[in-house]
Amino acid sequence: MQTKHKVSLFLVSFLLGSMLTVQFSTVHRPREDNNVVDNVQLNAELATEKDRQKFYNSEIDRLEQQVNTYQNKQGNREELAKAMADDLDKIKGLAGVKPLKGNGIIITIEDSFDAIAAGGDPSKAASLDYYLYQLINYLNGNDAQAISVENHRIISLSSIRSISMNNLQVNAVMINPKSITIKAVGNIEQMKIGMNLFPQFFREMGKDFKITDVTNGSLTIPAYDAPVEFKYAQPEGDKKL
Amino acid sequence: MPFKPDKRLRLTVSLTMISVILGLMLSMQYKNMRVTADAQAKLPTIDPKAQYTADQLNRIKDENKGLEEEIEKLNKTLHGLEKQAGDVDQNLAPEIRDDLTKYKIMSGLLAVKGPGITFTVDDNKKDIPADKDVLLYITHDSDLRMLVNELFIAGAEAVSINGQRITTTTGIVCIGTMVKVNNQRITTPFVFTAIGDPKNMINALETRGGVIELLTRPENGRYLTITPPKQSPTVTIPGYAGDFNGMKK
Repeated sequence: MQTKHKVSLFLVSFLLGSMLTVQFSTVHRPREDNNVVDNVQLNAELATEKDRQKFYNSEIDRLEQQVNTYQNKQGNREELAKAMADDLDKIKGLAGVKPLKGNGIIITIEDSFDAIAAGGDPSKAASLDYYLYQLINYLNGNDAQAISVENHRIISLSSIRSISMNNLQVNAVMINPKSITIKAVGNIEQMKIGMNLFPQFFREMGKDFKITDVTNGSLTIPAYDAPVEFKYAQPEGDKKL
Repeated sequence: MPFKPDKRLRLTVSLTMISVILGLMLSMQYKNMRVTADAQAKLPTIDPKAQYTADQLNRIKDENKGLEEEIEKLNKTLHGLEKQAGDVDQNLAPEIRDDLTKYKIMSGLLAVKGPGITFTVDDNKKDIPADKDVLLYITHDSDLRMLVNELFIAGAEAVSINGQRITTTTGIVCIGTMVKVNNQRITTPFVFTAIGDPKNMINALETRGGVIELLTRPENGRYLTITPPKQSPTVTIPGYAGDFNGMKK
């Protein structure tokens, strides 16, 4: 009996010990990686970054060439002036101080009895400015190259705000909030995807939201034409602008 | 003689104890195993292909960052040459040089410095009550755009979020849980830098009923964390290296 007792105790201890070991190694097995997300998303991001890299490389080539041109033409006044004028013309396009013509969409947002009859509430139009700058934001986030609101060009410094129900300002210029035309040149399909949610927002304010495609290249976005002066910002390394 | 009962009693007692211990251990083990299993179920399985893609993505992102710096440097060199050309030759239409500088700042191409402010916007990290909507506690694309709009109304001349310059064609959009500015992913905390009249900008942001109150006050239904804007005599905002939604080729 005594021996049997000892044997059984030994067996039980052995069992317990091995179970604990197994348990320990199971619980503390390290996980190496918790950053792995959806493969589809990763591949999409990778494609974007590859495109970006391609562009960056071509941009570096272009800039290096331009630096060379400037250095080579240092003595030749006329050629240097021409190179700078060409550059200025391109930069004006990027800054939005030159008109841009192309394919795109025209969005009209108008007060509508139908939208009010369907439950739209004009008093909600107090947040019209909010939805307008979000709309422009979503056009830009979906491949718009140039945008105007009531023929006021949207640039980097643009802002939109409602001073009152009847005073809506774009680039600090008053426009009529009852009927607003927004033009955008860019990738039509992508911009329309970006506009998905917006018709509903404006209908809730009692406004109609219509999109018209322009595919014959005739849509013109005017240039920003108010004077711009930088009083605070200056190029890094410059003393005074 | 009480010999036999005593021995039986000892055996019973020890067996009982062993059983109790075993039972306890087994139940603990079971519980632990379930916890482990749950934790493992929550984590996605390691897919070597996804891991490879992730590594590749990180590498190419690093490379692109290097290329961006190179582009910024080249743009600065170019700006320097243009200025030099104008300085050396007074007949070389100085307005071309000045316009080049002005429009390069306006478009967002050129890195700029000047007096300005910085502040940080972050999701609310505190425990979110079960009856409240999580969406009220996290930062949305529309919140960031609202702040940008407000800064430009207050006269900002250049703005960046996490180093992404606001340009002519900048979009701030959420795709799923990702925030993208200039088509580049940025993550919390969102650091705003703006050049302009610091007092004007701070007043506009902090005014009663202003945008900071709107986004951080529970009575307005939002719970973001925004640090008070800090004024600085010089802040630097990087240039934009991208393609202006395909405008630049």
